This record gives sequence, structure tokens and C-alpha cells, in this order.
Amino acid sequence: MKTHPKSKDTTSKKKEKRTIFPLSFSRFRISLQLFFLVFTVLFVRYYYGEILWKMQDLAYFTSSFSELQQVAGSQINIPVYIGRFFLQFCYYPWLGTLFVTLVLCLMQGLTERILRFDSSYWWHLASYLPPAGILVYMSLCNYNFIYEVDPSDFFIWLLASLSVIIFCWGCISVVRRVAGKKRPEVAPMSSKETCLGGGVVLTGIVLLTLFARPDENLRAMTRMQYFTQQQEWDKVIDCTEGLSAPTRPVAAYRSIALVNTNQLGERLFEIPYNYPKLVMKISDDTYLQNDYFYTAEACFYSGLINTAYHHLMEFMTLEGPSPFTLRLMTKCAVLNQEWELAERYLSVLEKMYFQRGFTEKYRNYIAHKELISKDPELVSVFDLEPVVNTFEQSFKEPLFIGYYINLTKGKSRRSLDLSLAACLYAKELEAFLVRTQALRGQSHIAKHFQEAIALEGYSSGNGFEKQFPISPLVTERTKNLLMEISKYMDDKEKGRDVLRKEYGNHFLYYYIFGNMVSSPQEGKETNKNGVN
Amino acid sequence: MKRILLYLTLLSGLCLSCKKEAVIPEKFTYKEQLPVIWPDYTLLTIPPNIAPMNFKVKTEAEAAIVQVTGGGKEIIVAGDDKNTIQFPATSWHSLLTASKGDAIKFTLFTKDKNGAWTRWQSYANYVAKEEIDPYLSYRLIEPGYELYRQLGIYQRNLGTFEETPIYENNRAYDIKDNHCINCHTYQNRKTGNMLFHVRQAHGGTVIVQGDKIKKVNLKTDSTISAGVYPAWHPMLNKVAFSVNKTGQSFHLIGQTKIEVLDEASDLIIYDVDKDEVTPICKTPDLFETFPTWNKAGDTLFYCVAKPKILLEGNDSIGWKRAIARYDSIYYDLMAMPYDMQTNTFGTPAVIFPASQIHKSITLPRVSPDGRYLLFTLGDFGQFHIWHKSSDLYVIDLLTKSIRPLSKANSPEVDSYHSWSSNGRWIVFSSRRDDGSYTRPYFTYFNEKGGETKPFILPVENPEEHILRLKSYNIPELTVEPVRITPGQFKDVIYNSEAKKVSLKQ
Repeated sequence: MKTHPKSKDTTSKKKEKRTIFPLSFSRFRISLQLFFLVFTVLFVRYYYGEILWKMQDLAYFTSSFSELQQVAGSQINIPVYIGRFFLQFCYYPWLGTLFVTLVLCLMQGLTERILRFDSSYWWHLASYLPPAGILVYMSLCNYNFIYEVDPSDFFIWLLASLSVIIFCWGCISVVRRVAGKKRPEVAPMSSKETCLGGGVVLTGIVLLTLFARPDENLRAMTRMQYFTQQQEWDKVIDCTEGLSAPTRPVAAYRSIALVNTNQLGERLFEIPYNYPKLVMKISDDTYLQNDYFYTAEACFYSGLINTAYHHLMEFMTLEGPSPFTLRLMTKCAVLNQEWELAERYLSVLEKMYFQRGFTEKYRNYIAHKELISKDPELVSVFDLEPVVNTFEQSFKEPLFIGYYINLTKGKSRRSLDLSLAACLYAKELEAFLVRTQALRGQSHIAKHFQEAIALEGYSSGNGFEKQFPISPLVTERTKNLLMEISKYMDDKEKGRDVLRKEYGNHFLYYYIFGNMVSSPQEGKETNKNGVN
Repeated sequence: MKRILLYLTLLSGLCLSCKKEAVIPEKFTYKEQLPVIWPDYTLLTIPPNIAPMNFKVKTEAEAAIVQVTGGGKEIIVAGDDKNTIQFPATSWHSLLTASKGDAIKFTLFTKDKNGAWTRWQSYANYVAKEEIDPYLSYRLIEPGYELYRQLGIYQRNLGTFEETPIYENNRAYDIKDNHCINCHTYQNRKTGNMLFHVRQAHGGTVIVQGDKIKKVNLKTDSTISAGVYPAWHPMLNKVAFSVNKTGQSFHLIGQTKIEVLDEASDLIIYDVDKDEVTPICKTPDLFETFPTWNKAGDTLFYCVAKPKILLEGNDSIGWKRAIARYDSIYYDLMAMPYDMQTNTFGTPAVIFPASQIHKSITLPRVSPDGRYLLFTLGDFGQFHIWHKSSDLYVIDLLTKSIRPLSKANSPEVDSYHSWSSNGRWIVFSSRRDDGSYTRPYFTYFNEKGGETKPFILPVENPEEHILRLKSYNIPELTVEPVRITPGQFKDVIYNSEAKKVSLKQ
């Protein structure tokens, strides 16, 4: 055991105490710091990795300050520039995680040096409070962390906090040096102290894990956005597992993945659709001011290219240009064959770090438009593009549902599937039944469509379902569910809970119990001003 | 001290050595082809007081050098590492001044990967004798749909690259302060009398008269809206406005994305001194809009539609009917005599019945000499800034002949325009670069009524036109800068209630 000679007396006194695991303070400290390092890396990466990535994806940055101001506006000042620079690390969630961890560990280490006034070990434990506070702050911000402030704000505050700590540490070091005071040494810890210290740390970690976790829907949504960008559709779908009450964006991203894997008719109703509010809540009296951050992508992957561009432009107007908006606007422009417009967005994007791959790929499309037909993502969108021009105002919002409820003509079979699914989601059974005419003669019909047809056949008793290849299992299950539901018509809440496990993924269950909660758009205020 | 001077000399020497040397190559091969440069500043007529027309060489090259000669002067400039040519301001202005009424010749040399130089075919730009008004004001806003956030009206000194805000809205989002600003307009291109609208929070119309600023509410119980499109009378303290009930719809497919329609519109005249509004016309069956005065101030030009499709049948006028037949609404050009003594208007007469050829006319503006009327013609509707068919046309009010400004027009939108005070320059907004972001373009308009190839607003680094993701909206030339500071405007906008105007029938 290593001890400092000057603390010999104290050490010998301590030695007299009975110790179970005599532990030097430095070993305790290093163990704790290592533990904190590993814990922070895992915690930040697991809970915040994709959230940090999304923040980066919403912050345009280029190394030239004047160019950044030209693109993002004159509100870009030096702190925002610095914040956005460091935010770029988060393009790779692991890199962002390591950077945040490094800063948090530095904060802890320096705070410890500042607080080291006496031989107590409590100052060491107290030095973990600033980084823990940062993590709690992150969780308290919730959606606001990304959408209602400049995405670089977190990094500005993070680095500003670190700078303040460095400044304090510098001042105290000077004062100590001038005063000739040396850093007090800490005596070895007794078993009681070790246990107490360890207990405090463990409690802190449990509390941190409980309170500093992000909102589960926020985390799910950003992960889905991340995997959507990577086109990893199965992972997008997996993100909703275990969510008790998915929000609209989460449901929308899941539907995007289902559309892209042709599973909409099979798995649409696997998740509960009971949104707590029509708009997302940030805090007690604050709501998200817009929902373009997910409706743009939902419209895009539904083939509504102009509407996606519309939502992206509104989003860019409100939040400023970002890699997210510029990439998707480029895709819209390419699909609309607006080559010069696509070129403009690519020129702005290529000034960013990490966007070169995207710009090279899409610039190639401008020069050789025949390549577009070989891009599965663009082909999938193009397949769903409307064939008749009309106005957005002719449909209910959100348009990626409203348009498909009214669809009468489409480019592909996928358009029909989307239309059928939209009708079921909107509980527009009449419109659904009209569209089933196109399913006649098909050898296979998706599960949810079968369920709805079976339901119609059973309730009308006219043998409607016989015109379609309905699985006997589906018919049987629908009958059973109908009987079960009849028991709970007076207490739908109870019925919803009881039948969820067995029938939660059945259309009829959704029809009766899904989207039951509705409330006015509380607090939703926009600055829509008609014609600009 | 000596050491510091030495260091400074070394440092400046180092900086100078970093800059590419601008020496005309002795050996080169000649290419009989115009170089590809952006912006396209070739074969133009340019004002003698315009800022350096910097450009980027688009031909692939390792280095570029340009030689400009005219009026016995010469400038030789080397491109930077991106082959951007930036002329030194003093030499540029000196060369232009010396070349007034004459041509200046541009000769470009480029170096390929092997170090061989090419001399491209020279081209000449003619320097007009007449200057352009030194200031251009415009609103910068995203080519958005319904929302706005940070926007402002700015003025640009056309002889330099200086851009200063006239007024900017709130930088930070706050529902209590969020406001849009639009429709800045001046009396006779002078800034002593000017106005612009503020919408939503702190709403009203901001009126400037000399150093006095006020905010008024132009909505009255018997007009359908507050004032919208303004036209300040050339002599009187009176402003004609259209009052419009406007909405917009968004196309689901195609490159035309927005359709703006009026459901109703009329004209009013506002007496700035008395804060009094008088309706000019209240005609539910006619949609009057875009008023503008002639030089003498005794005629009001405007556009009118007779939207039969909305009015026929038993249905009430409705938005749905309008958008269903949006492409069948046509506006004609009208003129109405005005008696300045009695503030009364005479019987309107049709000047150009565009509807008869299934076209629609908007934004009439009379030239300062009163002879020409410039307007925008499109296939239908009244918000041509979103119509690709939109082009500039001019009527000779003397001979009544009408013709397009073919040399200035493009396949994309060419729309909002204004004259310089000497009538020789026109600025207009155009989406020709990418179909989406409007940029100000200038064309020379000669005594015979002919125009020249237009050129985009010169900027210090041409890349600014790419990077600025905002549209230049309502470009207006002025002979002087706006003297009211943004702070003074803010004080009035934030701290005063809009004074309600009275109605005079």
C-alpha cells in the first residue's frame, strides 16, 4: 500500500482501525474514475448516441465562418460556430459519445482538484456532481434538446461549463501556489468509509440511470431516424419494441419502414396507437411548434415528393438549413428533375464534413439521370408518386394518410396497399371495401386486409369474404375476437388491456380500441401567415 | 521597434507571396470560344457605377488570369485556388469611369494540368453612360410556403458590396413577437417617404415621412382587408393600395409548387396626412389589384379579373371553386383617371385585355419618363412569382405597341421589377438559376425601348449566390439609402399601437 510520508501519523492511526478491505484513497479514486468513464461511455452511447447524431444532423456547419453565416444566417456567432464544430463529432455516434465522455471526465477531474481543500474524501465524490448535472440537464430538455433550441446549444453549455471549471482550477492553482499550500493528502480509507463511498457512488449511478435517461419515445424516434438514413428498415421496426405508448413520429417512422419492406398490410397494427396528445409535449406548458421533422420524411417515402419538399422548406425556414433538410431536398429535387436546384443543395452540402459520399452519389445522378432508376430508395419513392395533379388542400392532414384514403389512381400495386392500409388506419371501412375490388383474383392478401374483409363478411353475413383468399385462421380469430369484444363494450378501457396480449395486432382490436384518446391541439401555435 | 517592423515586413511579404501572381502568359494557344464563367457576365451592357463584377471560371483549369482593358486602363487579376476572379474595387471603378459610353474588353487565360495556357476568345461589355440608382432594397426570405422565421428588408449599395438591414424581425422565436414584414415601397425611388407592412404580432403599416415614423392599421369595417400592394402617389402624400382576400394552395406534383389566389380584391386610397382611407372601387364581381401611378399622377393603372368561374351559378363564391379552376382566371390591364384636386377617380378603361388571349397581366410599373409601362405576363392568375410562364413585357404608352423583353426573359419565372430613376435600368427578380431561389437581375433599357442581356447582382464572391438559401424579394431601386435606423423602426413597431384609420366614403 502506497502512502505519502507526510501522512504517516494519520496512516498509522487509521491502521489501528479494523479494516476488511484496506484501500488507499488513490486506488479508490482511480477505480471510481475508471468506473465513471466506462459507465459514462456506455450510458451516453446507449441512451444518447443517436440523439447526439440527430443534433448533428440538424446543425449545418462548414469550417469557413463567413460561409456558415451565409448559409445559416447572421445569428451564427462564435460560440455557435464552436458548438457546431464539436457537434460534428456526433456524425458517428461512438465518436460523439467519446467526446462527451472525455469532457465529462475532464470536468470531474478538474472539479476534484478545485474542491480538494482538506483530507476528506467527500470532495472527491462531490466532483461527480457537475458531469452528473449535465446528464440530468440533457434528459430534462427532452425534445427541446434537439428541436426547440439551436442543436449546438448543448455543446456550447458543455464547453462553457468546462471552460468555467478550467478557469476556476487555474485560479485556485495560482492561489495555492502563491499561498505555498500544497494539496492535502487523503488518508487510506477504512472499510466503513469504502463501503459508504461505494454506496454513495452506486446510489448516484442508479439515480442517474433513472433520471438522466431520455424520454423513451425521443430515443426511439432518433434511433429510427438514424436507421432510416441508413436504410436499415428492420432495425427501424425493432426500435418500437417495448414502447408502451409510441408517439406519432415513432408510429410514422415504423410505417415508413413497413412500406419499404412491403409489410404494411401484415404488421401495421402490432403497436398500440393511443397517442397521449395530438402534439408532442416538451414540458408542462410547452409543445413542439411544428411536426415537419418527421412529416417530411413520411411524405417523401409515401411518394408525396412536393409535399415532402413543402414540409422541408417550412422546417428549414423555422430551424435553418441542416444536413437533414438539404439531403432530403436534394432527393426531392432529383426526383422532380430539378437539376439546378439539386446542384445548389449539393454545393451547400459538400462544404460540410462527412457529406462527400452523398454529394458524389447524387451529383452523379444529375449527370446521368438513367442511374436514378437503379437506386432502390428513389425507385421506391417514384413508384408511389401521385399520377394526377391536385392540391394538398384537397386532403385531410397528415397528407401521407389523407392522400391515400382518397387515392383512386396510382402507379403501382404498392400505392394500392398504402391506400388500403391508410383506410384501415383511418377506420374508413367504406373506402377500404371499395378498394378491395382491386384485390379480387389475387392469390395472397395481406393479413390486416384479410382481417378487415373477414370482419365485413362476418358482420354483413353476405359472404363478401368468399370473393377473397381469406385464411380460415384469420376468419376464426376474427370471430373469436368479436365475441371477446362484446364482453367489454361497456368498459372499453378494460377490454383494451385484457385483449391486448392476445389480439393487439388484429385490425378489429385497433378498430375498437385504437386511437381512442383524442384531445384538442393544446398549445399548438404556429406563425403561419398565409402568403409570404 | 525595428524588429517589429522587420517581422511585419516579412509577414506581409509572406502574405503577398501566397497570392497568385497576375502576369499574362507569354506562350498560349488560342481558343475561338467564349470562356464558361459564372455568373455569365459576358456581352452585357453594364452601369458605370456598378460594383466589381466578380466571377468564377467554370472551365476546368489549374489557374486563371483575366485581363480587362478599356478607357486606356488595364486590370490584370489572377483567380484564387477556386478560380474565382475578384477585381480590386478602386481599379474597377476607375476603369469603368474611364470607359463610360464605350466597351471594355475581357480576355481570359486558363492553365491546364500540364501547365499549358489557353487564351479564350475575348468578349466585350459595354459601359452605359447612364448610372444605375446606387441602392437596391429587397426582402430576404426563404422561398417558403406558409411559414417565416428570420427575415428582413435590406439595402445594398450597388457600387460596393455593402448590405445593411433596413429592418429585421425578431431573431429569437417568440410567439408574442413573431412578425412578418413585406411590401416595402418608396415615393419616386426616394426614401424620405416610404412604407412597409408588418403582419401578425405588432401588425400594421409602417409609414415614414422624413424623419417621422408611424404605424397605422389600414383595415376598416367596409374594406375586405388592410392595405396590401401599395403605390405611393408621385406627388401627393397619398398611397393607393389593393385590399385582397388571399389564399394559397400547393400542387401535389410537378415543378410548379404553389398557387396563390385571390378570393376577392378591391382598391383603396390612403391619405397619409389625414390617416383616412377612401375606397376606389368596391366591386364584388371584379378583382382589382396591383395599382400603380403614371408619371403625372393623374392616372392609376391596375389589374382586374372578372372571375366568371367563381360567380356563375348558384354557388356562393368559395375557395374550393377558385382552386378548382385556378388556371382560368385572367387579369387585364386597366387605367383610371384621377383628379388630384378632388381625390376622385373617373371611368376605368381597358389598356390591355390579356384575358382575350388567355393570358394574365400583373405588376404594372410606369417608366419614370412616363412613356413605357412594364408588366409581367403569365398564362393565368396573379401571383406570377410562382408561374414558370411569367415573363416581362412592355407597352409603349405612346404607340400602344406591346412586346416581350425577349433578351431579358428566361424559361423560368421573371417577375417583380422596378425602374431606375433615369429609366435606363430595370431590376427584376428571376428564378432562372434553379427555378426556386429568386435573384435580382438587371437589364439596360435604351431610349428606343430595347433591352439587353441581363446580369445577376454582383457579389464579392459569386459563391454567395449559391450559399444564400433565401430569395431576394421585391427588388426596388432607390437614389439614396434609407436613413431611418433599424432601431428606430423597431421602437415604433414594438412600442406603438397601430393607429386605426378613418373611412371616407
